[in-house]
Amino acid sequence: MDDRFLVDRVFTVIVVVIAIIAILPIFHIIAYITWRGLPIVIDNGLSFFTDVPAAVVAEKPGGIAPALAGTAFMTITATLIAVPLATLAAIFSVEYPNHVLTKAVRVTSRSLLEVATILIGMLIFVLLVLPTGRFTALAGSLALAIVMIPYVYTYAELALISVPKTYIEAAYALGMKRAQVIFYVTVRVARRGLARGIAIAVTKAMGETAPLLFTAFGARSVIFGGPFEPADALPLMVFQFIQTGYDNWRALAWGGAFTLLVLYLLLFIIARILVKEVRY
Amino acid sequence: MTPRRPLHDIIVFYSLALPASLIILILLLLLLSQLGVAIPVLGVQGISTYTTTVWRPSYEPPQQTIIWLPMLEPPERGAWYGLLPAIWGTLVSAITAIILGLTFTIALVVFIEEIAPRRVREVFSTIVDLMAGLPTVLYGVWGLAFLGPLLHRYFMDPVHSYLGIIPLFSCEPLSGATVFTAGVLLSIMITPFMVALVQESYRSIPFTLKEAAWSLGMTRFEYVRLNLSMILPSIASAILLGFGRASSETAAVTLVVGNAVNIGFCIFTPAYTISSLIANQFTESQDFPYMLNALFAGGLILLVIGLVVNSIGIILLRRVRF
Repeated sequence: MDDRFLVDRVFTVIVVVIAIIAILPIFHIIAYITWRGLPIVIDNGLSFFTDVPAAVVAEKPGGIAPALAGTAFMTITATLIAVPLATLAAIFSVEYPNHVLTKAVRVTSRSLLEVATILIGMLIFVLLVLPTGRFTALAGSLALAIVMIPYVYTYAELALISVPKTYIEAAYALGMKRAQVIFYVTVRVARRGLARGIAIAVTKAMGETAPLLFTAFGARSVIFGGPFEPADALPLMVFQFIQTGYDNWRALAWGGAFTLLVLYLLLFIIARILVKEVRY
Repeated sequence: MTPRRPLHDIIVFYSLALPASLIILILLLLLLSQLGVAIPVLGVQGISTYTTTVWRPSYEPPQQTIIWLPMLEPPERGAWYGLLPAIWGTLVSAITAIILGLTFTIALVVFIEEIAPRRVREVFSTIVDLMAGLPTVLYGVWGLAFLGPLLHRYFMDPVHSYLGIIPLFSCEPLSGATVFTAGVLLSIMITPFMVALVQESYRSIPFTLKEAAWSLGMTRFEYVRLNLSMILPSIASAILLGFGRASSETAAVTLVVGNAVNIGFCIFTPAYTISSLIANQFTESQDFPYMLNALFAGGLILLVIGLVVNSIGIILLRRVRF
């Protein structure tokens, strides 16, 4: 019996053990955040989602309503900005594949995917917060929109390219104009793929902390002050409150982390369902 | 002669080209904003901003130095903003993350592709996707409340007391918030991203090559080693792109890295990374002359590192062709 088979056995065992170790943390993270956060949500009941954070010395920690409202507002507005922009750019890349602009957009989008998101916050700070002299929810929306754009673009391009060429040729043969082919055929056929990209981008935007630090900044005395006032967001609130020494605020951070986890899992499942059904 | 394009076609072209150009404009603005705000501090502290280790905010502005001369010690008086400790912390945490993350990545790819039965394979792929998208602040709170204390008690303390003579482990870990903890947490976060890159190349190896390897009577170990050697460029690319991810992460790192201006070879010490320095000091930086500019000088180097590492990574990725 030669050593080769012994080496092979040992190798297999090591690989299996390390692979299992590598995925253990995610289970522990889900369990741990649920263990710390769920009791807080249950203790405070519905008011956890409808109240503003209480004072640090108060008996009850209050609620996370400003974070929920801010996340809802900024994620929705960011989606409204990013989706049309990135989808049109993706249509351009697919319609004019050899154009110089196409190559430039592809490279740019790949770079934007990897840029530290805190730098996007700094950009909006310079462009919007410094000139107007105030942190605003809208600045947060813009920062999140920039975070979303490369994700929407990448998935949209993938979805649009995989539309069968025969469909498009058939549409032209019927005498449709380019705009009609794009919007009645290409986009319609690719809609599930497009929706999946949007779901992934929304997930990303909803969970981002860094771009909001210097744009939306955080505001906790009112639920939502409007687009031109500072705003809170779930990840931002968790990030800031977990670092404080106050029991009340840390309780809100854990409850908020649990809420964010549940929202993430929901969106993850939605994106899964969408990808399962992409068939032509 | 080519026929003239109809008007409606031209309209379509421009209404699509406009959003496409906007995306390019965003990246340009990113670069310009970092550079533009960084220039004033670079004009005063010069290249020494990146070579000195002193971080000393003060109302008295930094003294003018020769901007092309890299110094190791800043002037005695006035404010000074040296970014070297933050750059060092970024490198150390990202390299730790890469070493661990690459181990996880190779094991996961080999397990998913070669060892696991079909059912288990799908479960693992779903889990890896789930890890990839989890909001980073959730990794952060877990790292702060659980991973940090765990590593402190069961890894850093014992390693320090038994292997303390090695410079890497020579400083006594005072809490779980260290640059090492940040590295371990980052390794968990970048693994799914690296797995996606390596797995894609691994799957692109032609079946005929794999069949030939099996037919030579190779063991699984020899077979996997051969396969991995064929996709070396994509592994190198995963290392680079993973490094880019690790160095640019903010929320999770800020929560576990300890946030102290420290530099040295010991990894059990609290430190700053560039992004955690920015996240922590941004608000107060507007009160001191040149401090905000110094933070943008940090952002600039982060952006440049990110763009360079990415470009090389993507070029390498293209080299895996069968």
